[in-house]
Amino acid sequence: MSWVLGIDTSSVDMGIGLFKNEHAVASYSRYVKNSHAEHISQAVEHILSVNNVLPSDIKHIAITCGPGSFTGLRIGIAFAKGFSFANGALVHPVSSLHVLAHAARTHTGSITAAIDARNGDVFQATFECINGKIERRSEDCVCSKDEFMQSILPDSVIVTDTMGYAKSTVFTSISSINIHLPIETFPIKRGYFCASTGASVLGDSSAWINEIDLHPNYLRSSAARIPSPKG
Amino acid sequence: MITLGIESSCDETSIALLEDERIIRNKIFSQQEHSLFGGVVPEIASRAHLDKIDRLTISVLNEASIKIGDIDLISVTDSPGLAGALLVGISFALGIHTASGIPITGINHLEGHICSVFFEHPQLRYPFLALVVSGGHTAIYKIIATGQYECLGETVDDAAGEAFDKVGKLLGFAYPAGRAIEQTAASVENSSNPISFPIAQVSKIPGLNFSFSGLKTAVKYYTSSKDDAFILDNRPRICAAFQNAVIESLVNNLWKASEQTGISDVALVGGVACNGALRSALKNRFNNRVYFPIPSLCTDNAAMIALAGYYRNQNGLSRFPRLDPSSSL
Repeated sequence: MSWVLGIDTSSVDMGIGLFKNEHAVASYSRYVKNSHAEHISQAVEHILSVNNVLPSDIKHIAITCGPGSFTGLRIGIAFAKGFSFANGALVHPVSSLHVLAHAARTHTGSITAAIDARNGDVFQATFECINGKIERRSEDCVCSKDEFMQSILPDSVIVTDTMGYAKSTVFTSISSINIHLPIETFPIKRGYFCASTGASVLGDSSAWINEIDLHPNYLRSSAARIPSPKG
Repeated sequence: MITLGIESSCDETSIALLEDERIIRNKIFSQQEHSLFGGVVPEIASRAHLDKIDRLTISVLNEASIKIGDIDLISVTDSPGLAGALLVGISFALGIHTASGIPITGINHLEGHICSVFFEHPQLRYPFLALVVSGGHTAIYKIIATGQYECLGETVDDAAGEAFDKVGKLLGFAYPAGRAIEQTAASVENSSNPISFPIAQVSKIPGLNFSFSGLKTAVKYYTSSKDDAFILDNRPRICAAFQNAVIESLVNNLWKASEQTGISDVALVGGVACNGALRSALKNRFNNRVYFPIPSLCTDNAAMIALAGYYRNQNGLSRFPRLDPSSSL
């Protein structure tokens, strides 16, 4: 018997999920800005204790590694590193865009998952839903809003996340031809899907790494390292 | 009792292990990349902390032959500092705490600096005054007991260490510039024509407060009125004049604090406590009733955080970590 703890802190809502082998056990979501670090410990303790699971029982952690909020990613990854360091759990890095794509899991066909990367850019990847399973079709990347708009296939379902940015405009031009699922309106259980992704690869030892090899996938350098247009 | 200390409030990632009040290991990784930018870049600092924190912890535990189960307390800096940097240390500590059940306490970084003096001077008794001087903080505290502090004054603008770095930049020194300014100033022999910079008197806000931004501006105006060759030739005199102004401000306010409170014992802590000229000036003024940490424990380190946590634990004052980037105790 293997327990899988799923952790997603890549966006505004923090998600914690728990699977026992391939079976869902519990899910917890909390939509409050800038408070992941304040609540992650209690959220994990709560989900484990109400299900009579000891922290030492958790030997697999599925964690979103990006792209997304830089600070949010670091909170989840640092927590997972500390947890795994203490009890020897293995970790499975999960793309936050892959988690996001699950909002369209009832759709058959192409899915584009996209996150507002600020400064007019978009983090995006494409997937395909086959019999309820989300299969990747392109790698996570960062591109301009225009490039993103040009890449959208006519029959694709678009799942977007503004990461709580009220002034976000990068997704306002999405054509009405496409089905558009803004995550703010169609929220998903991020922790649940993170844990389920981990549970789906439990039998594949190559999918699991030691915490020391766990790194965030920022997809972007720190702004300080990007040369300014003025030079 | 074994305490694991975790510090990540600025640009040093540090992990330490203490057995009661004795340092078993204290490892510090100083991020060098900030020198390219002339100051600490928060996002770069946060990324670097995450890259190093687990490797450093593993290395410290392995070198000390201590297992996670041997640890009795986790002590982590939770304020003040760069929010993103603090969050890495706090989240890592919370992960260990949640998985292992080891008790945890959050520690104010300044409290850690104040406790650093006890490694060298365990005989120091309460109450005493602490002058905390670093790149991010300049303040005088009355230390009443463990966890009981009264702020008697603090900087209203730049920290003293920050002023050293900014003036160093004006004079062409690399970041951080404190040591270069001190060494350059030391090369001045009795000057017959010393430069003089003003010492700010902060009177609008109650307390023994400091201000260093005006001093920095005075140096800026002085250097901009001279040509490059003059500045290069007179760099030692400028450094000495600037350093003397900072030291006089610090020593004067600490002396006033001592007179007002009747407390004669003072501790100098923080990164600027490495400055030999400041140490000498305080020793002279306070008749040797001044206490310093050893230089390696003046800069940010996890041993001081672990010690502060140990003291809090012994006094029943442990508290759950909370992020509070405010700059005082």
